[in-house]
Formats: sequence, structure tokens, C-alpha cells
Amino acid sequence: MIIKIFLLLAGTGVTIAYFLTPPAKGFARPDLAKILFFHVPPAMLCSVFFLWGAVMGARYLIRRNIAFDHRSLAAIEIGFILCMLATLTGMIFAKAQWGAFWEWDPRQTSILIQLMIYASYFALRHGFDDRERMRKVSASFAIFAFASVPFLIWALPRIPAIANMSKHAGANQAVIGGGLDSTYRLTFYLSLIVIFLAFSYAYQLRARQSDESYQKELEHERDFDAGTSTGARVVEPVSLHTND
Amino acid sequence: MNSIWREIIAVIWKDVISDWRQKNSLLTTFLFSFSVTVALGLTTTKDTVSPTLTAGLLWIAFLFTSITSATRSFLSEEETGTGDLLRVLSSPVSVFVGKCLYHFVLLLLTLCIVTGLFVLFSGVSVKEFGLFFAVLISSSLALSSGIVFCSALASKSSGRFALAGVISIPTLIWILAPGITSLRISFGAPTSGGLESVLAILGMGIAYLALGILLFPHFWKQ
Repeated sequence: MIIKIFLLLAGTGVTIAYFLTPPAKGFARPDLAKILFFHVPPAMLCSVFFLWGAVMGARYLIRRNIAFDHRSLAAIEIGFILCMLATLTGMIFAKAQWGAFWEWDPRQTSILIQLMIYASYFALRHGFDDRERMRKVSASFAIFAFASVPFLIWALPRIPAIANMSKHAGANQAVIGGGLDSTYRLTFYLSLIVIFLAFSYAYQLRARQSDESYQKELEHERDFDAGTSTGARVVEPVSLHTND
Repeated sequence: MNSIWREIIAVIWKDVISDWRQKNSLLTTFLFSFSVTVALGLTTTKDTVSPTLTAGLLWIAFLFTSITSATRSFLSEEETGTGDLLRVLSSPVSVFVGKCLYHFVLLLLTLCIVTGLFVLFSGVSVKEFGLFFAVLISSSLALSSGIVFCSALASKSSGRFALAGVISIPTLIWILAPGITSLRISFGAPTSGGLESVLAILGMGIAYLALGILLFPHFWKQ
């Protein structure tokens, strides 16, 4: 309860800070450039959650503890939501600054490919009847898919012929190169921390929900085997002794 | 010779013999690549095409040809029931490396044929052969290791053929950006960055191969 109140207050604080900061300098639409506070943190944090998903996947493959599989799935789901948010807010930023929702800017393209890769993770996860195989395959794909994330984020936009097409150069300098003034820097870091805390909480809730539903399933199966289940019996036990 | 290399060669030889005997998979690959090249050639119809557009069209052919050919690497093993035989007779690492090497060579040959046909149909010419072959070799490595791994992941699923394609395309679509960049430079586009693009593709190909060797044993055995 305290965590929820804290997150609500922190979110409100960031929203108020967003409206109080003056329009950004050096952008085509200075008033709309403030969407950076809600665009850059999800873009940065989605990779963190994808990495955590890969780490939990590796732990599942080593220890075969189902809790790690639940955590891997939860991390990738949260990362996917953050990736979608980054893509959508990026499109709004692109329309405001560059005149079109989609410009095939290298960073826009990278995040779209990331979205597609992790969408296919969910397709893969639902393609198996055998749950143990599904977990092993999902964990392997979570690790394999993450191999492309550093390439998409750092390497691809920096290949010279591709970097020349980038419209992000000025924004990169502003956000990462220390070009923000103190008000912006404070609001940006506040937004980053609040979004991280909010989505970490969501991750924990999701992982706990998966653990609980798995425990319920196990209990139901145990009750069914012991004959104490309240569910409808499909097979009735038969005595092997005949009364002759 | 080291036993693992003997197993790898045995896996490669098994694929060579089985594809040569049945021929339908090889024919499918080459006919598909031929059809795609003809279709793309028709779109240009000998009009002067820029190196960028040529590289882009060619890469579409590369991507879909490689997905059609390499996804059957493990899917056909499950269809024909020989997957269990491979599990018993060979170590997982030699199975994976053998499959990657076989499909690397097959893909390289297919991409050379596709490019040759496209050059014939579109009238475009290769200006930098060194860069051009470097692109083909690095792309074949990245595509074969990535698609073979995705095929292995999907091999025991329901709807395996569709699923293998669905997970392969996003995993490898990034290759279009550096691939088109380096290919258009080899066709004479006045830009730089060809070598960096080739190195990026090669690096990712090696990363996919290494990850595949590490991860494949975890889900290959029953």
C-alpha cells in the first residue's frame, strides 16, 4: 500500500515537473520536445528488462527452477511494454520535430526491430503443448534475442553510412552528451527513476502472480490425485477385487 | 581426427546425401530463389536502377531465400523422424555446428546464384568484388547460424514451419541495414562504411554461432 502511494505521488511529481519546465531549446517544436522525459527513459529501461529476462532465462537453464522462468517472462513482458511506449512516444516526437510519424531514422528502426524480436518471443512461448520444453526453448530464445539488443542500440546507429541518416544527433548530444540544463537534467533523472521503480513494482507483481497461479495448479493436481479435489471426476476409481 | 570433428563431418555428409537423394529440398531452394530473382528483375525491366535500389531488392531476395532454405534444417529432421537418431548418435554441439556449416555453404552458393541472375536480369554490375564477396560470406554466416538456431527452437512446436519463419525474420531483419549499405557500395554507390558494415554482420554471425553452441544442448535433448 505504501509503495502504491509513493509511486502515485512520485508520478504526480514528475507530471507536475513536466508542465513546469520551460519549452526545450534547439528543437523544431520546443513545447513538444518535453516528451523526451517520457520517451528516453522507457527506451533505456526496456533494454534493462530484456537483459534481466535473459539473465533469468540463463538461471532457469542452469537450475531448472520454474520461478526463474516466471521472472524471465515477467521481465520480458515489462520490457515489451516499455519498448512499445518508447516507440509510440518516439513517433509523437518524430511528428512534432521532423514532420512525419515514421522517418526510418536508425534509432526508430532499431526499436521497431527490438519490438518485433520480442513479439516473436511470445509467439514462440505459445507454440508448445509440452510446458517443460516451452520453458527451455523460451529461456534459450530470451538469451539469443538479447544478443541483438546491444548491436541494435549501440552498433547499428553508429555504422558511418547509417549514422549519416540519423536525425537523433542533436537530441543525443542534448540528453547523453550533457547538453541539458539543470532543470531538464533533474526532471529527466526523476522521470527515469520513477518509471524504473513503477515498472519494477509491476514486474514483481507479475512474477508473484505467475508463481501463485503455478502453485494453485500444483495443489489442484495433488488434490485430484489424492481424490480430495472438488472438481468433477472424469475417471472413477475401480476396485480390483470381485465379490464372488 | 578429433571425434567431435568426425561427428560434424558425419552430420554434414548425412545432409548432403539426404538432400542429394531426395533433391526436392534443393530444387525448392533453387527454384524459389530463381522465381524471386525473376520477379525482382521484372520490377526493374532494364531501366537504370540506382545501386541503393539494386542492393535493397537483392537483399529481399537473400532474406526470403535463406529463410526458405535454412528453416528446414531441423524441421525436416522432425518430419522424417531422424531427429531422435541424431540425438542418440551425435553430441548436440556437433549436430548444431554441422547443420550451420552445411547451410552456410548451401546459402553461399544460393546467394551467388541469386546475385548472378539478378546482375544478368537488371544489367547492374559489381564494381568492388572484394567487398561484394565479403558481404556474401559474412551474410551467409549470420543468416545460416541465426536461421538454423531458430529452426531448432521451433522444431518441436505445433505449427513449426510458420513459427520458424515468424521467429527468424525479426531476429535477422537487422541485417538488411548493414547488408544493403555494403552491397550498394560494391555496386558503385559513392559512400563509405562498407567495411564497417561487413564487420558488423560478421561479428553478429560469430555471436549467433557461439550462442547457438552454448544454448542448443539445453533444449535439443529430450
